[in-house]
Amino acid sequence: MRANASANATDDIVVMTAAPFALLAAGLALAAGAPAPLPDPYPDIARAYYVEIDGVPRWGGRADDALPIASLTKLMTAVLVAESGRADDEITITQTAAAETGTRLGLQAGDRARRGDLLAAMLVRSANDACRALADAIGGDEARFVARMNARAAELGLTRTRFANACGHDHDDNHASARDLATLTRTALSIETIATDVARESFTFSTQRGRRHVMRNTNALLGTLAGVRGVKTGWTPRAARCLIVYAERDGRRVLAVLLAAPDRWWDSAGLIERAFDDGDPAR
Amino acid sequence: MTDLHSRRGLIAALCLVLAASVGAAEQSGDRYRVKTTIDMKGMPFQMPAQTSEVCTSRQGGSSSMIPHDDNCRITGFARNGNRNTFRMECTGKDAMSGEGETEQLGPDAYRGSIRASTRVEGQPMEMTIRFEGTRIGGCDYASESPEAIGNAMLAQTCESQIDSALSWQMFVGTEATCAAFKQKFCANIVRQADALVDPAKFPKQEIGFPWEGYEACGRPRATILAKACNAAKASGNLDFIGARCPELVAPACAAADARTQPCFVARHCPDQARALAAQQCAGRGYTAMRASPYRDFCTRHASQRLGERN
Repeated sequence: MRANASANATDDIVVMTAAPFALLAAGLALAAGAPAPLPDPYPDIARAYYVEIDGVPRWGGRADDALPIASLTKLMTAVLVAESGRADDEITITQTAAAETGTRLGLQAGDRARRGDLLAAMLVRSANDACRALADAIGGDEARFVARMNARAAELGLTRTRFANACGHDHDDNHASARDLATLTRTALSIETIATDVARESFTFSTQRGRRHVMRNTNALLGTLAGVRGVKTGWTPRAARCLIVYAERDGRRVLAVLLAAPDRWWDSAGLIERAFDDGDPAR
Repeated sequence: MTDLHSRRGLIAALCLVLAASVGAAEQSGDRYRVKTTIDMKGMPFQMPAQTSEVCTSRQGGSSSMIPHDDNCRITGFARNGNRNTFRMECTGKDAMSGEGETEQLGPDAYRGSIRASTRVEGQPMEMTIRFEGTRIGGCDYASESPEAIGNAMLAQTCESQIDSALSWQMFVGTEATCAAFKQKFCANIVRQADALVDPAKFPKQEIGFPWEGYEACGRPRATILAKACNAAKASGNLDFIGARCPELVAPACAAADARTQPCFVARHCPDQARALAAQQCAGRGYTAMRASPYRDFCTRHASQRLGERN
């Protein structure tokens, strides 16, 4: 609550000073190569949001604000996992992974699982223990893995993004903008194994010790809203309800990112419908 | 064998007819090779001669005897015995103007000159263009004359747009350059317009749609839409009715089922949608709607609400 009050006070100051210098600010933004401001027709949908249709930015509200992103962080973890090593490699579950909090599968320290299965579990169920096991295995430890996440973010030009952990736990230095997350999502979806995993409605795998894990996707739009192909959900107390969703219909593509969206499912479903209707008088 | 002989005879006869017609066409003009030299006052060197070929009328010559660029216009071409006089105006980069004459030297040759004024780097300059034509054969003046070439180019342009309703002003109206093609153009456009009776063939976007073109050929928008709306009503195409047939919306709403036509009800039937949303969607979580037959309607309703509340 205190953090919210502080954010509101800052907003007030911006409103008071922005009007007289609006043109100057716009000019400076252009000079600095900042992205053009987007129409913001749905300001109450989320604290920040960004929508692109067929790869073209269409709507956005505070799309370049750096905000907590919760488990949307795992998309970068997934990119690094997919870019290093083979899906069939076996990974040993570390103590730190088994001790992860939040959404988890209940993996046991010392048990082993396929890297591809852990990746799918991280993306389908947003499992923190699977996420941490992958980060520990690929980075050696989480700190080194996070350094790689930040390096990859820099490579992708994600200037409003910073990672402090692999799985999206609340932290002052774990944040991104909605627009940066769209860029990250495009990269992630260009990797076949990630595109496949985020589109799974459910997933089942077994560890070396024979423990069977059955899970449903945390993305409620999968299988319920026409054309939805995934991508990732997130929730923490600080980030609130977050969602990245990608959908395709009749060759048209919609990518939406919502950060802190109070009515995440209904509003994102409505937003996607409106995006597909955009410019279509027959609807 | 007899049959084969008779076929050969027929082919030979056809060849003769074709050759005769080609020969007749060639008889209408004379082809000359024309050598042109230009003398410019004050120019320290002679510009190299240029050679071109022209097809002239056998009936006392024509403006095509005069070598000139595309940006030049020959006017006032007048015949006086074996001499012709004319004016030449050139526009654009090499603008110039002048007067000239040609003289027929016999059945196979002519010569001529043009005294012209131009400006080089802002300074006036006089020049004399001289040309000499030597007959090298016959040609079909009917197809190679400037008028014929112009007409052929115009016909080609008109044909290229003969299916494009957007180009209707080329074919219909007092300033139509392709007025001679109007009948053919409108036959094509009417065919296109009549195909729009099928709602499935209607464009999604009407922006830039050539309604004026259809109207110019006797198919106004209202007529086309009336037929398409009737077809949509018959086939139960509610999306089309909602988007383009306002007079049919109310009865369609009365008959629509939100479980099978969620988009139409949510968007075009506000009274029914409000009542149904209160009954089936309000207060329910999205995940709780997974098995509901009204899930798509509620999603559509959410989309409507999103638009209304912002």
